[in-house]
Amino acid sequence: MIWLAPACGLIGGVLIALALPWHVPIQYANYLSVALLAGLDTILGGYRAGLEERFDDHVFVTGFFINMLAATALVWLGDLIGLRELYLAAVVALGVRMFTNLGIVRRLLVARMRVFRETP
Amino acid sequence: MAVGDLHKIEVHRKHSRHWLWYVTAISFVTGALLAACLRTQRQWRADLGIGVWRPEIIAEHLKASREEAKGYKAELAATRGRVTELENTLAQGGRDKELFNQELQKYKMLMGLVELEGPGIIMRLDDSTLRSATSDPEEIESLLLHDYDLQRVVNELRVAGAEAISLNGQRIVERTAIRCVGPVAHVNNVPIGTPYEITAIGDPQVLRSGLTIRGGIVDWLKTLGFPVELKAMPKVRVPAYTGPIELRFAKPVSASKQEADTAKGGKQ
Repeated sequence: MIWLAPACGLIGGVLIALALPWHVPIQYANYLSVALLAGLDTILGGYRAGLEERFDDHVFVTGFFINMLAATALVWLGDLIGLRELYLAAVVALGVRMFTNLGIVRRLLVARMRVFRETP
Repeated sequence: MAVGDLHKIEVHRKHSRHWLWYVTAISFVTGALLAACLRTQRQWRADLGIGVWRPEIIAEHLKASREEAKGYKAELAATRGRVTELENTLAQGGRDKELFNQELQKYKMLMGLVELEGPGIIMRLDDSTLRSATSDPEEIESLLLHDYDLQRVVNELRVAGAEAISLNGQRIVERTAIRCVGPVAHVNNVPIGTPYEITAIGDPQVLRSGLTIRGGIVDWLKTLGFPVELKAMPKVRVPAYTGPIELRFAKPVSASKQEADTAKGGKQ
Protein backbone atom coordinates (compact mmCIF):
# COMPACT_ATOMS: atom_id res chain seq x y z
CA MET A 1 0.00 0.00 0.00
CA ILE A 2 2.92 2.29 0.66
CA TRP A 3 3.55 2.35 -3.09
CA LEU A 4 0.41 4.45 -3.49
CA ALA A 5 1.77 7.30 -1.36
CA PRO A 6 2.69 9.52 -4.38
CA ALA A 7 -0.80 9.10 -5.85
CA CYS A 8 -2.28 10.17 -2.51
CA GLY A 9 0.10 13.15 -2.51
CA LEU A 10 -1.10 14.11 -6.00
CA ILE A 11 -4.75 13.89 -5.00
CA GLY A 12 -4.06 15.80 -1.76
CA GLY A 13 -2.33 18.56 -3.74
CA VAL A 14 -5.27 18.84 -6.13
CA LEU A 15 -7.78 19.02 -3.28
CA ILE A 16 -5.87 21.64 -1.33
CA ALA A 17 -5.18 23.82 -4.39
CA LEU A 18 -8.81 23.59 -5.50
CA ALA A 19 -9.83 24.90 -2.10
CA LEU A 20 -7.55 27.92 -2.52
CA PRO A 21 -8.78 30.83 -4.64
CA TRP A 22 -5.95 30.54 -7.19
CA HIS A 23 -6.46 31.64 -10.74
CA VAL A 24 -3.98 31.95 -13.60
CA PRO A 25 -4.62 34.37 -16.48
CA ILE A 26 -5.60 32.54 -19.64
CA GLN A 27 -2.58 33.69 -21.66
CA TYR A 28 -0.37 31.65 -19.32
CA ALA A 29 -2.53 28.50 -19.56
CA ASN A 30 -0.13 26.95 -22.09
CA TYR A 31 2.85 27.52 -19.81
CA LEU A 32 1.01 26.00 -16.87
CA SER A 33 -0.08 22.92 -18.80
CA VAL A 34 3.42 22.21 -20.09
CA ALA A 35 4.88 22.77 -16.61
CA LEU A 36 2.34 20.29 -15.29
CA LEU A 37 3.42 17.69 -17.86
CA ALA A 38 7.05 18.24 -16.85
CA GLY A 39 6.08 17.70 -13.21
CA LEU A 40 4.22 14.47 -13.96
CA ASP A 41 7.15 13.27 -16.02
CA THR A 42 9.57 13.95 -13.16
CA ILE A 43 7.36 12.05 -10.72
CA LEU A 44 7.22 8.98 -12.95
CA GLY A 45 10.96 9.20 -13.60
CA GLY A 46 11.66 9.42 -9.88
CA TYR A 47 9.33 6.53 -9.13
CA ARG A 48 11.06 4.38 -11.71
CA ALA A 49 14.50 5.31 -10.38
CA GLY A 50 13.34 4.45 -6.85
CA LEU A 51 12.12 1.02 -7.91
CA GLU A 52 15.36 0.44 -9.77
CA GLU A 53 17.24 1.44 -6.61
CA ARG A 54 19.23 4.17 -8.24
CA PHE A 55 17.25 7.09 -6.84
CA ASP A 56 19.23 10.23 -6.10
CA ASP A 57 17.42 12.94 -4.20
CA HIS A 58 19.53 15.76 -5.68
CA VAL A 59 19.01 14.57 -9.22
CA PHE A 60 15.29 14.21 -8.54
CA VAL A 61 14.64 17.63 -7.00
CA THR A 62 16.82 19.53 -9.49
CA GLY A 63 15.21 17.53 -12.29
CA PHE A 64 11.78 18.64 -11.17
CA PHE A 65 12.58 22.33 -11.30
CA ILE A 66 14.87 22.29 -14.32
CA ASN A 67 12.45 20.20 -16.44
CA MET A 68 9.63 22.53 -15.55
CA LEU A 69 11.66 25.64 -16.34
CA ALA A 70 12.96 24.17 -19.59
CA ALA A 71 9.47 23.17 -20.73
CA THR A 72 7.98 26.60 -20.00
CA ALA A 73 11.03 28.26 -21.58
CA LEU A 74 10.32 26.31 -24.76
CA VAL A 75 6.74 27.57 -24.83
CA TRP A 76 7.99 31.08 -24.19
CA LEU A 77 10.52 30.80 -27.00
CA GLY A 78 7.75 29.59 -29.32
CA ASP A 79 5.65 32.64 -28.46
CA LEU A 80 8.67 34.88 -28.91
CA ILE A 81 9.66 33.70 -32.41
CA GLY A 82 6.06 33.32 -33.58
CA LEU A 83 6.19 29.51 -33.65
CA ARG A 84 3.35 28.86 -31.25
CA GLU A 85 3.38 25.14 -32.03
CA LEU A 86 6.82 24.76 -30.44
CA TYR A 87 5.12 23.71 -27.21
CA LEU A 88 4.15 20.53 -29.04
CA ALA A 89 7.82 19.53 -28.94
CA ALA A 90 7.72 19.57 -25.13
CA VAL A 91 4.33 17.82 -25.07
CA VAL A 92 5.47 15.01 -27.36
CA ALA A 93 8.86 14.52 -25.68
CA LEU A 94 7.36 14.48 -22.17
CA GLY A 95 4.39 12.37 -23.22
CA VAL A 96 6.54 9.67 -24.80
CA ARG A 97 8.83 9.59 -21.77
CA MET A 98 5.88 9.36 -19.39
CA PHE A 99 4.52 6.30 -21.17
CA THR A 100 7.94 4.63 -21.23
CA ASN A 101 8.44 5.26 -17.52
CA LEU A 102 4.92 4.16 -16.70
CA GLY A 103 5.51 0.87 -18.49
CA ILE A 104 8.75 0.24 -16.63
CA VAL A 105 7.18 1.17 -13.28
CA ARG A 106 4.35 -1.25 -13.96
CA ARG A 107 6.74 -4.07 -14.78
CA LEU A 108 8.86 -3.44 -11.70
CA LEU A 109 5.84 -3.30 -9.40
CA VAL A 110 4.42 -6.52 -10.84
CA ALA A 111 7.82 -8.21 -10.36
CA ARG A 112 7.93 -7.06 -6.74
CA MET A 113 4.42 -8.29 -6.04
CA ARG A 114 5.35 -11.66 -7.47
CA VAL A 115 8.42 -11.90 -5.22
CA PHE A 116 6.33 -10.80 -2.24
CA ARG A 117 3.71 -13.47 -2.89
CA GLU A 118 6.13 -16.26 -3.60
CA THR A 119 8.26 -15.72 -0.49
CA PRO A 120 6.76 -17.75 2.35
CA MET B 1 31.52 -7.16 -6.23
CA ALA B 2 33.68 -5.68 -3.50
CA VAL B 3 32.75 -6.10 0.14
CA GLY B 4 32.43 -2.32 0.46
CA ASP B 5 29.80 -2.24 -2.23
CA LEU B 6 27.76 -4.91 -0.50
CA HIS B 7 27.87 -2.85 2.66
CA LYS B 8 26.66 0.18 0.73
CA ILE B 9 23.75 -1.77 -0.63
CA GLU B 10 22.91 -2.95 2.88
CA VAL B 11 22.88 0.66 4.16
CA HIS B 12 20.78 1.64 1.18
CA ARG B 13 18.26 -1.12 1.87
CA LYS B 14 17.69 0.13 5.38
CA HIS B 15 16.44 3.42 4.03
CA SER B 16 15.25 1.78 0.89
CA ARG B 17 12.02 3.73 0.76
CA HIS B 18 13.13 7.25 1.58
CA TRP B 19 12.76 8.10 -2.13
CA LEU B 20 9.08 7.41 -1.93
CA TRP B 21 8.65 10.43 0.32
CA TYR B 22 10.50 12.67 -2.08
CA VAL B 23 8.27 11.50 -4.90
CA THR B 24 5.21 12.01 -2.70
CA ALA B 25 6.23 15.57 -1.81
CA ILE B 26 6.83 16.48 -5.45
CA SER B 27 3.54 14.77 -6.35
CA PHE B 28 1.83 17.06 -3.90
CA VAL B 29 3.28 20.14 -5.61
CA THR B 30 2.38 18.78 -9.05
CA GLY B 31 -1.11 18.05 -7.78
CA ALA B 32 -1.46 21.71 -6.84
CA LEU B 33 -0.29 22.63 -10.33
CA LEU B 34 -2.84 20.27 -11.85
CA ALA B 35 -5.54 21.94 -9.80
CA ALA B 36 -4.41 25.35 -11.04
CA CYS B 37 -4.63 24.03 -14.63
CA LEU B 38 -8.13 22.68 -14.06
CA ARG B 39 -9.20 25.91 -12.47
CA THR B 40 -7.83 28.02 -15.32
CA GLN B 41 -9.51 25.91 -17.99
CA ARG B 42 -12.78 25.94 -16.08
CA GLN B 43 -12.65 29.69 -15.66
CA TRP B 44 -11.94 30.14 -19.34
CA ARG B 45 -14.86 28.00 -20.39
CA ALA B 46 -17.12 29.73 -17.95
CA ASP B 47 -16.03 33.12 -19.37
CA LEU B 48 -16.82 32.00 -22.91
CA GLY B 49 -19.95 30.10 -21.93
CA ILE B 50 -18.61 27.00 -23.70
CA GLY B 51 -18.73 23.63 -22.01
CA VAL B 52 -16.63 21.49 -24.34
CA TRP B 53 -13.72 22.88 -26.30
CA ARG B 54 -14.33 21.54 -29.81
CA PRO B 55 -14.38 23.37 -33.16
CA GLU B 56 -17.88 22.31 -34.14
CA ILE B 57 -19.28 23.54 -30.86
CA ILE B 58 -17.46 26.85 -31.22
CA ALA B 59 -18.84 27.10 -34.76
CA GLU B 60 -22.30 26.53 -33.33
CA HIS B 61 -21.73 29.34 -30.84
CA LEU B 62 -20.47 31.62 -33.59
CA LYS B 63 -23.60 30.94 -35.63
CA ALA B 64 -25.84 31.67 -32.66
CA SER B 65 -23.94 34.89 -31.95
CA ARG B 66 -24.33 36.00 -35.57
CA GLU B 67 -28.08 35.37 -35.40
CA GLU B 68 -28.18 37.36 -32.19
CA ALA B 69 -26.25 40.20 -33.80
CA LYS B 70 -28.69 40.22 -36.70
CA GLY B 71 -31.54 40.63 -34.22
CA TYR B 72 -29.75 43.53 -32.56
CA LYS B 73 -29.16 45.19 -35.94
CA ALA B 74 -32.86 45.03 -36.74
CA GLU B 75 -33.57 46.47 -33.31
CA LEU B 76 -31.08 49.25 -33.90
CA ALA B 77 -32.65 50.11 -37.25
CA ALA B 78 -36.08 50.20 -35.60
CA THR B 79 -34.76 52.41 -32.81
CA ARG B 80 -33.18 54.82 -35.26
CA GLY B 81 -36.51 54.97 -37.12
CA ARG B 82 -38.20 55.86 -33.86
CA VAL B 83 -35.67 58.60 -33.20
CA THR B 84 -36.57 60.12 -36.58
CA GLU B 85 -40.25 59.96 -35.66
CA LEU B 86 -39.57 61.62 -32.34
CA GLU B 87 -37.61 64.36 -34.08
CA ASN B 88 -40.56 64.88 -36.38
CA THR B 89 -42.88 65.17 -33.42
CA LEU B 90 -40.51 67.64 -31.84
CA ALA B 91 -40.54 69.67 -35.04
CA GLN B 92 -44.27 70.11 -34.85
CA GLY B 93 -43.63 72.40 -31.90
CA GLY B 94 -42.74 75.40 -34.03
CA ARG B 95 -41.17 76.86 -37.16
CA ASP B 96 -37.65 77.08 -35.72
CA LYS B 97 -37.78 73.53 -34.57
CA GLU B 98 -39.05 72.40 -37.94
CA LEU B 99 -36.15 74.07 -39.72
CA PHE B 100 -33.79 72.55 -37.23
CA ASN B 101 -35.29 69.14 -37.87
CA GLN B 102 -34.97 69.55 -41.65
CA GLU B 103 -31.29 70.22 -41.18
CA LEU B 104 -30.97 67.25 -38.91
CA GLN B 105 -32.67 64.91 -41.37
CA LYS B 106 -30.42 66.19 -44.14
CA TYR B 107 -27.30 65.34 -42.18
CA LYS B 108 -28.67 61.97 -41.23
CA MET B 109 -29.25 61.24 -44.89
CA LEU B 110 -25.70 62.28 -45.68
CA MET B 111 -24.41 60.08 -42.88
CA GLY B 112 -26.26 57.07 -44.28
CA LEU B 113 -28.45 56.56 -41.23
CA VAL B 114 -31.67 56.66 -43.26
CA GLU B 115 -32.90 54.17 -45.84
CA LEU B 116 -33.03 55.97 -49.18
CA GLU B 117 -34.69 55.36 -52.53
CA GLY B 118 -34.44 56.92 -55.95
CA PRO B 119 -33.36 56.25 -59.53
CA GLY B 120 -30.12 54.38 -59.90
CA ILE B 121 -28.43 51.20 -60.95
CA ILE B 122 -28.01 47.65 -59.72
CA MET B 123 -24.80 45.86 -60.60
CA ARG B 124 -24.21 42.14 -60.11
CA LEU B 125 -20.71 40.70 -60.03
CA ASP B 126 -19.43 37.18 -59.62
CA ASP B 127 -16.13 35.31 -59.74
CA SER B 128 -14.74 34.72 -63.20
CA THR B 129 -16.19 31.97 -65.38
CA LEU B 130 -12.65 31.25 -66.68
CA ARG B 131 -11.82 29.79 -63.27
CA SER B 132 -12.65 26.20 -64.24
CA ALA B 133 -10.30 26.39 -67.24
CA THR B 134 -7.15 26.58 -65.11
CA SER B 135 -5.67 24.76 -62.15
CA ASP B 136 -2.80 27.16 -61.51
CA PRO B 137 -3.52 28.62 -58.03
CA GLU B 138 -1.97 31.96 -58.95
CA GLU B 139 -4.22 32.27 -61.98
CA ILE B 140 -7.28 31.21 -59.99
CA GLU B 141 -6.40 33.89 -57.45
CA SER B 142 -6.48 36.53 -60.17
CA LEU B 143 -9.86 35.24 -61.38
CA LEU B 144 -11.56 35.80 -58.03
CA LEU B 145 -13.14 39.09 -57.08
CA HIS B 146 -11.05 40.96 -54.53
CA ASP B 147 -11.55 43.85 -52.20
CA TYR B 148 -9.77 46.20 -54.62
CA ASP B 149 -12.23 45.31 -57.43
CA LEU B 150 -15.13 46.28 -55.18
CA GLN B 151 -13.30 49.40 -54.01
CA ARG B 152 -12.75 50.40 -57.62
CA VAL B 153 -16.43 49.95 -58.48
CA VAL B 154 -17.48 52.02 -55.46
CA ASN B 155 -14.94 54.67 -56.36
CA GLU B 156 -16.19 54.87 -59.97
CA LEU B 157 -19.76 55.18 -58.74
CA ARG B 158 -18.77 58.03 -56.46
CA VAL B 159 -16.96 59.78 -59.30
CA ALA B 160 -20.16 59.45 -61.34
CA GLY B 161 -22.06 61.22 -58.57
CA ALA B 162 -23.73 58.34 -56.74
CA GLU B 163 -25.52 59.68 -53.68
CA ALA B 164 -25.96 56.43 -51.81
CA ILE B 165 -24.28 53.06 -52.39
CA SER B 166 -24.77 49.67 -50.79
CA LEU B 167 -22.92 46.42 -51.28
CA ASN B 168 -24.90 43.24 -50.55
CA GLY B 169 -27.16 45.23 -48.25
CA GLN B 170 -24.30 46.98 -46.46
CA ARG B 171 -24.48 50.75 -46.81
CA ILE B 172 -21.21 52.38 -47.86
CA VAL B 173 -20.67 55.31 -45.54
CA GLU B 174 -17.73 57.58 -44.84
CA ARG B 175 -16.28 55.13 -42.29
CA THR B 176 -16.84 51.99 -44.37
CA ALA B 177 -13.89 49.77 -45.18
CA ILE B 178 -13.94 47.08 -47.86
CA ARG B 179 -11.35 44.38 -47.49
CA CYS B 180 -10.83 40.68 -47.95
CA VAL B 181 -10.63 38.48 -44.88
CA GLY B 182 -9.81 34.97 -46.03
CA PRO B 183 -12.19 33.92 -48.79
CA VAL B 184 -14.86 36.56 -48.14
CA ALA B 185 -14.99 40.34 -48.30
CA HIS B 186 -15.86 42.34 -45.21
CA VAL B 187 -17.88 45.53 -45.54
CA ASN B 188 -18.55 47.49 -42.36
CA ASN B 189 -16.92 44.47 -40.64
CA VAL B 190 -19.76 42.27 -41.89
CA PRO B 191 -18.67 39.30 -44.03
CA ILE B 192 -20.30 39.13 -47.45
CA GLY B 193 -19.69 36.63 -50.24
CA THR B 194 -20.15 36.31 -53.98
CA PRO B 195 -22.26 37.09 -55.92
CA TYR B 196 -21.95 40.78 -55.10
CA GLU B 197 -24.83 43.14 -55.68
CA ILE B 198 -24.04 46.81 -55.71
CA THR B 199 -26.92 49.27 -55.55
CA ALA B 200 -26.38 52.97 -56.16
CA ILE B 201 -28.72 55.95 -56.25
CA GLY B 202 -27.89 58.66 -58.77
CA ASP B 203 -28.45 59.53 -62.41
CA PRO B 204 -28.74 56.04 -63.95
CA GLN B 205 -27.26 57.05 -67.30
CA VAL B 206 -24.29 58.82 -65.73
CA LEU B 207 -23.64 55.97 -63.34
CA ARG B 208 -23.83 53.43 -66.11
CA SER B 209 -21.52 55.31 -68.46
CA GLY B 210 -19.08 55.89 -65.58
CA LEU B 211 -18.76 52.17 -65.12
CA THR B 212 -18.88 51.07 -68.76
CA ILE B 213 -16.50 53.69 -70.15
CA ARG B 214 -13.87 52.23 -72.48
CA GLY B 215 -10.96 50.90 -70.46
CA GLY B 216 -13.04 51.34 -67.33
CA ILE B 217 -13.82 48.88 -64.60
CA VAL B 218 -16.54 46.90 -66.39
CA ASP B 219 -14.37 46.60 -69.51
CA TRP B 220 -11.52 45.29 -67.39
CA LEU B 221 -13.67 42.82 -65.48
CA LYS B 222 -15.28 41.49 -68.63
CA THR B 223 -11.87 40.86 -70.25
CA LEU B 224 -11.03 38.60 -67.33
CA GLY B 225 -14.30 36.72 -67.70
CA PHE B 226 -16.11 38.11 -64.67
CA PRO B 227 -19.87 38.07 -65.29
CA VAL B 228 -21.06 41.64 -64.94
CA GLU B 229 -24.71 42.56 -65.02
CA LEU B 230 -25.65 46.21 -65.00
CA LYS B 231 -29.21 47.46 -64.88
CA ALA B 232 -30.50 51.02 -64.81
CA MET B 233 -33.57 51.23 -62.60
CA PRO B 234 -36.21 53.92 -62.15
CA LYS B 235 -36.28 53.15 -58.44
CA VAL B 236 -33.78 51.39 -56.20
CA ARG B 237 -33.55 51.19 -52.42
CA VAL B 238 -30.39 51.57 -50.39
CA PRO B 239 -30.61 50.40 -46.77
CA ALA B 240 -29.46 52.42 -43.77
CA TYR B 241 -26.09 51.94 -42.14
CA THR B 242 -26.41 49.88 -38.95
CA GLY B 243 -22.82 49.86 -37.71
CA PRO B 244 -21.46 51.92 -34.83
CA ILE B 245 -21.57 55.71 -35.24
CA GLU B 246 -19.91 56.80 -32.00
CA LEU B 247 -16.78 58.92 -32.20
CA ARG B 248 -14.38 57.82 -29.50
CA PHE B 249 -11.35 59.94 -30.34
CA ALA B 250 -12.30 62.78 -32.65
CA LYS B 251 -13.63 65.99 -31.09
CA PRO B 252 -14.66 69.23 -32.75
CA VAL B 253 -12.06 71.99 -32.43
CA SER B 254 -13.48 74.59 -30.04
CA ALA B 255 -14.34 78.00 -31.48
CA SER B 256 -11.81 79.96 -29.35
CA LYS B 257 -8.98 77.66 -30.41
CA GLN B 258 -9.98 78.01 -34.04
CA GLU B 259 -9.74 81.80 -33.78
CA ALA B 260 -6.37 81.55 -32.07
CA ASP B 261 -5.08 79.35 -34.85
CA THR B 262 -6.34 81.75 -37.48
CA ALA B 263 -4.67 84.67 -35.69
CA LYS B 264 -1.40 82.79 -35.50
CA GLY B 265 -1.66 81.91 -39.18
CA GLY B 266 -2.30 85.56 -39.99
CA LYS B 267 0.83 86.79 -38.23
CA GLN B 268 3.16 84.46 -40.03
